[in-house]
Amino acid sequence: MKKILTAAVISVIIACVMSCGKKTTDTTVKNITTKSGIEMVYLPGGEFTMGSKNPGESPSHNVKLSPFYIDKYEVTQGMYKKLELPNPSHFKDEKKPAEMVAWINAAIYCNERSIEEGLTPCYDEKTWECNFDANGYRLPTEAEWEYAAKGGTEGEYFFGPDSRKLKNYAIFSKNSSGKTEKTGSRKPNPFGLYDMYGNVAEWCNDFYSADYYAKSPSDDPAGPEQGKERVIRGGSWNDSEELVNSTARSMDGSVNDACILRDTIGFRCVRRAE
Amino acid sequence: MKKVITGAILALFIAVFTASAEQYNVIDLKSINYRLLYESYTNGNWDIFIIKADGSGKKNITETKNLHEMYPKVSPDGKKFACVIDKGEGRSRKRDLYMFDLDGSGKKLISEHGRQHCWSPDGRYIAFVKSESTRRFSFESWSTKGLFIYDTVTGETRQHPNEKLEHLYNICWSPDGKYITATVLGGMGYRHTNIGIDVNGTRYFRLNVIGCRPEFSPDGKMIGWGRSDREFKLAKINMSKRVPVPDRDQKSFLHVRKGYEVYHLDWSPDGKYLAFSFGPDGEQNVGGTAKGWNLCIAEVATGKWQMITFDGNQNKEPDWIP
Repeated sequence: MKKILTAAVISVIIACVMSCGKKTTDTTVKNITTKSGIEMVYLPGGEFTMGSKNPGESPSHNVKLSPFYIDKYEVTQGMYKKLELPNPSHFKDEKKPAEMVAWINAAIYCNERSIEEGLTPCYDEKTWECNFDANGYRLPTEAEWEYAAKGGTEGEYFFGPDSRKLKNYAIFSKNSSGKTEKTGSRKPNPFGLYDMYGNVAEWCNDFYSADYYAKSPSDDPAGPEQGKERVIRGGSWNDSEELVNSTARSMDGSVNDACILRDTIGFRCVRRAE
Repeated sequence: MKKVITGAILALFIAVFTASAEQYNVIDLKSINYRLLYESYTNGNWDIFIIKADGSGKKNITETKNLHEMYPKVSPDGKKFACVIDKGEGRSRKRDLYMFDLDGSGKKLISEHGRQHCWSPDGRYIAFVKSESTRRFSFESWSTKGLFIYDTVTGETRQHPNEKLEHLYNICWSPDGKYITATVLGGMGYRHTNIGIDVNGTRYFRLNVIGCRPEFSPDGKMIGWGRSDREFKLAKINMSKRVPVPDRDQKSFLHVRKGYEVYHLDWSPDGKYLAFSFGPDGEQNVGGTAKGWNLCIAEVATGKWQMITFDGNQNKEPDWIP
């Protein structure tokens, strides 16, 4: 009996020590405001099913993500102005998303915002490699973007299978007036994120590879190691339903070339949760 | 390691050479009695080089270890050139506009933050734009604000009457002196187009040219421009017409295959040749990395072209010396 009691006490002590040593992970989605006044949403991470049966989006596979923060809105031209960065946008308005942004310039914005808030920039500006351990801002991985877009739901749309509801949540080809609109002008997704569908398609950090899903690691996948094009997700004011949803994958080569920039591409930032 | 580097250099050379092999040695370069200036990256530094049209007589005329001299533009009398000089690296890099005698002596500051310059046809003025942001350096050609004109006689600079001009790059003064052409990106309501600007007025207008970097021929009757990374076009131009470059007059001049790029075309003083930069996919921006790029010359009448440098030292922005 004494032995059993001793073992039980030791077990309790070990369990206690182990749990005391662990950092508590917040499991609730919550809004925060950054040091420079930008609204972000904390996403607790976890598992979800990425992809679909559609060509180019398959195989659907389980992905496990660490917690992260993501911008509540697409990066606006006003946010560019605040950092005194050149604003290449076609549809000028401080409340509209920045567009005509080459991938490298989106990465530069992330670094400048990190510096502004005293954080460590994620991007090496010589190689454009992303340091995922840095505490600064970066572009979302494709997996983080899809997890954020789905908002805890499954399937193509976060609002259910009826695509006629898309107009309530997205600026896209059927309801745009041939240009972007102010960010947050439609309803948010279940995580409280605006314009995950439409307005501007959003750069991700990943290089694009059509067959990446077949070989993607399950934990915090960060895309292929090399490539020419980068992933864009969510569709834009100029795209139809096929691209304006949670799972459709797309890519663009306007990584650093001013001659092929598009007024349909912008971005939002993420940051690892410490 | 040495073997790997040698192999890589050889592979790069073969790749570049193969891309242009069919055009190799097709122009009588010896008969071209002009020289050119261009920017080149050697030993970790950008300098301005002078070279004969046949590729001989290459010489570094700036030779500075801690400064990057780039984007040379020769005066119409061939005695001076203006170029940008970058100091520092990374986000704190700074770009200013300078003028030199053709031998690299007589350095003179024209404007802090000046870039993307061109000479007036009479050689008295230098037009330029300024960096848009002074918070951090940008390599982007379009990241500019305003249009300014420097008087080489008085040393004074005035802003163009239209103070709303922004995001202009590759400015080029028309041979009749009345207009400046430019590419604009995300400025003045344009997404990305090419415009003409009245030198002495506030008006600007589309050229009806898709692509970037239009350059006038010496007689002002033609322009050449980059339709894409891989194609040059030529066309007749009449700046006084409502549509200065009609669709019907636009002809594809030169095209390279995927994986290669052509940029920075410049007409020879006699209008018979075009000099340009050519190489594997790279960054065409001033100071951008363009490994394996070389200078080439094309004959306007035949479309034949060939490389005149072979070192691949990021040779860009050729400018003919009159």
